[in-house]
Amino acid sequence: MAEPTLEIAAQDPPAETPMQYGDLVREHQSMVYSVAWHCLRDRPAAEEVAQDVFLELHRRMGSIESPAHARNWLRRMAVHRSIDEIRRRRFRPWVALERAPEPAVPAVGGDPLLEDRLRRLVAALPEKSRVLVVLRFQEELEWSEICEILDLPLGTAKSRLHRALRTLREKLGGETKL
Amino acid sequence: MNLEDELRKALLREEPPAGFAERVLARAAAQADAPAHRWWRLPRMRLAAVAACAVLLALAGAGYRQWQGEMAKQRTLVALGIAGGELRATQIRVRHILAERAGATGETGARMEDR
Repeated sequence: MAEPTLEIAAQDPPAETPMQYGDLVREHQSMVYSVAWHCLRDRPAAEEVAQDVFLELHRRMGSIESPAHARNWLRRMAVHRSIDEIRRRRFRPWVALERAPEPAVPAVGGDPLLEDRLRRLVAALPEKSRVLVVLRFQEELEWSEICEILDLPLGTAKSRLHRALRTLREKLGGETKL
Repeated sequence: MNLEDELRKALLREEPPAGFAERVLARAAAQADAPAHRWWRLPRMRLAAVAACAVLLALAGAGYRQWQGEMAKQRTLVALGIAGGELRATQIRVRHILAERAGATGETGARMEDR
């Protein structure tokens, strides 16, 4: 019978039930957490940012129209909260990339040490370049999506990524041929 | 080896620490159960409160200065009143003295005053 199904559907708002909010949290937790983690390189801070993003989603569940809307909203919010956290951290003590200790063992291709080194170098990039690299290589987003999230013109986004990659190559130059 | 491929490998998504979703859901439930936000914790309300305090302080300052002006005016008027009273009393005394002297010498007080 079609009517009861419709009635149940009408009584059950699609995005407001705790179960569906929980589903969204479980489905997108790795995306939100990873954006924050790769931007901040600090697990407790990344978890705090990710939790705040999901709590904000909980407050705004009424305005979320679809799962795709939720995913895009979460990604955008994770990026902007991470940028805010990076900016707050400017006023706290930190170690400059140039002064950071070199890995004890020279990194080689395919080595987890290289990946760790890359993650550290990405986390030392300027905030918007860092987020851009994360969106491009972690989230594998299209340029249009990246430009929309970061509110950047296409040319600026591309040149910023180009500079970021050049910086990463220079920093890695002494260790590996990339 | 390609840097972009290496970045894709290095920046693979990671799962958050165990129990993350449960912690989020617990905080969300606590948030839903909690009473409405305390108004002074909202950034806009904080800003409005600070602006209201600034306006109140400015008004209070202006009011205080006006009150000081009024008080100074009152004091000046009282001082002028006292000085005027004293002047009139002195004038009367002078007239009396002149009148007494005129009576003694046979001249009128008006003549004595003219001198």
